[in-house]
Amino acid sequence: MEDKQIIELYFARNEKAILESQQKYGAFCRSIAWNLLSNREDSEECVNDTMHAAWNAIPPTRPNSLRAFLGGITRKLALMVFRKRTAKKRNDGIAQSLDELLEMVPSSQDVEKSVEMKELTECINSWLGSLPQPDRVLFVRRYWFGDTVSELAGKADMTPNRLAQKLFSMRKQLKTFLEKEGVAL
Amino acid sequence: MSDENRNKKEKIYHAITEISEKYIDEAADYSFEKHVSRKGLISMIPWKTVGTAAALILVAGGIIALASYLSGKGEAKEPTYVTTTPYEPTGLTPTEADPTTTTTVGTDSTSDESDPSSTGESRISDPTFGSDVKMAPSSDCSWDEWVPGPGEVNMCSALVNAADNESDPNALYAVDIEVIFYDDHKEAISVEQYPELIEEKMRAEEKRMIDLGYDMYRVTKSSCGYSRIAKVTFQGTMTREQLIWFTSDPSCGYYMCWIPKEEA
Repeated sequence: MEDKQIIELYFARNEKAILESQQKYGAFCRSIAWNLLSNREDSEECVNDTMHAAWNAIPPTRPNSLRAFLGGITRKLALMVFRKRTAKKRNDGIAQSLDELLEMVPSSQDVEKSVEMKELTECINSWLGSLPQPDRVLFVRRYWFGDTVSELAGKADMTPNRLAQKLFSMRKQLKTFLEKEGVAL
Repeated sequence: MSDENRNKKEKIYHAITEISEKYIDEAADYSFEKHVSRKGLISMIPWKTVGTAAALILVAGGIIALASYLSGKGEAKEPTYVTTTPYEPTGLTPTEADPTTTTTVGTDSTSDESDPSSTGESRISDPTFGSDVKMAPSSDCSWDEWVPGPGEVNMCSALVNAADNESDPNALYAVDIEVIFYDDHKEAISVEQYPELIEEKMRAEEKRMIDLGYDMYRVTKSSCGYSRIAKVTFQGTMTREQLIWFTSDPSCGYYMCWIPKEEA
């Protein structure tokens, strides 16, 4: 079923919308949750919660891309699960990804000068737009989809070492870009 | 993890979560298979045979050939160069590193894109090419950004950036490439240690470059400052496509001169 049709089902408050979403994007959301949480049970819970959240959000929201919309919810829910878990133990998947992300955040002593999330996202979008497509895809797959370096290297037919270098270089570029844009967190 | 760090991480995590849907869809739909096939990619590159076979293999004549090539382009704009700060291989103290030994990457563009005033770059004289050249700030491309793997060529993102900033697809880029040899412990090795083996690897590397159609010449081996380190410098020209492909080569196979520990 086309995304538009599924969205119409949501708007019609037809529960088939959830089933269709599960069918079409369940695996996609599951892989995102899995990449971040590395736990089958938690991942499954995230996917179910994603569908529930989508049901509550549509309408009024009318997503342009149902896939990205659902994946975004999964990411947010995965972070919440992660937060709960960190009290118990460190998780390698998301923790490592978060550690890497920290490198690209310019430091600032002045919290007052923090930019709004939207502005930060716009900056990242703008930076992503300046990248060659293969680099952009690698970045998004690593930091949005949460693909592991070795998995992504396999897909891209690169050595993990080389990919890690490439990602490192991109993070530095983003950091420089954010600094130039005056973005500090 | 401190609260401050956690907040920062979560902020960037959320910001990335909210990136444009088009990039998410793009990444989801992207077919790596289509893009990483070496054969496919090679066939897309408009190979250009420059010079004669004899010139290509003339090691000593390489630099002269390149200089003549560049000077022969009377109508060309001044080449644009991006320098990098020298990489200091393990085992060398900073004082042993020759600050003049840099890797340069630049354009020998025939287009009107290379306006020096537009970039704010400083101008210095490059003895290699005997002309006034444009130098980008070294911070644009630091070796720190590029941690070479075993035998991996020492390059950095400036190569790609230089190509990306040039809109003329037919522009030729004057490129210097340094290949430093490492053992599989990522320790740079010296020419003195394995002279024959390194010579053999260098020849193989040179042959690969030629076989793949790059107009690259081997000009030096183990240059000053890094004399203890096995290093070969290639100079030549590449098209934009070649540059991009070269710098994003998925396996580094053809420019990786890895000397396995057991062999060394």
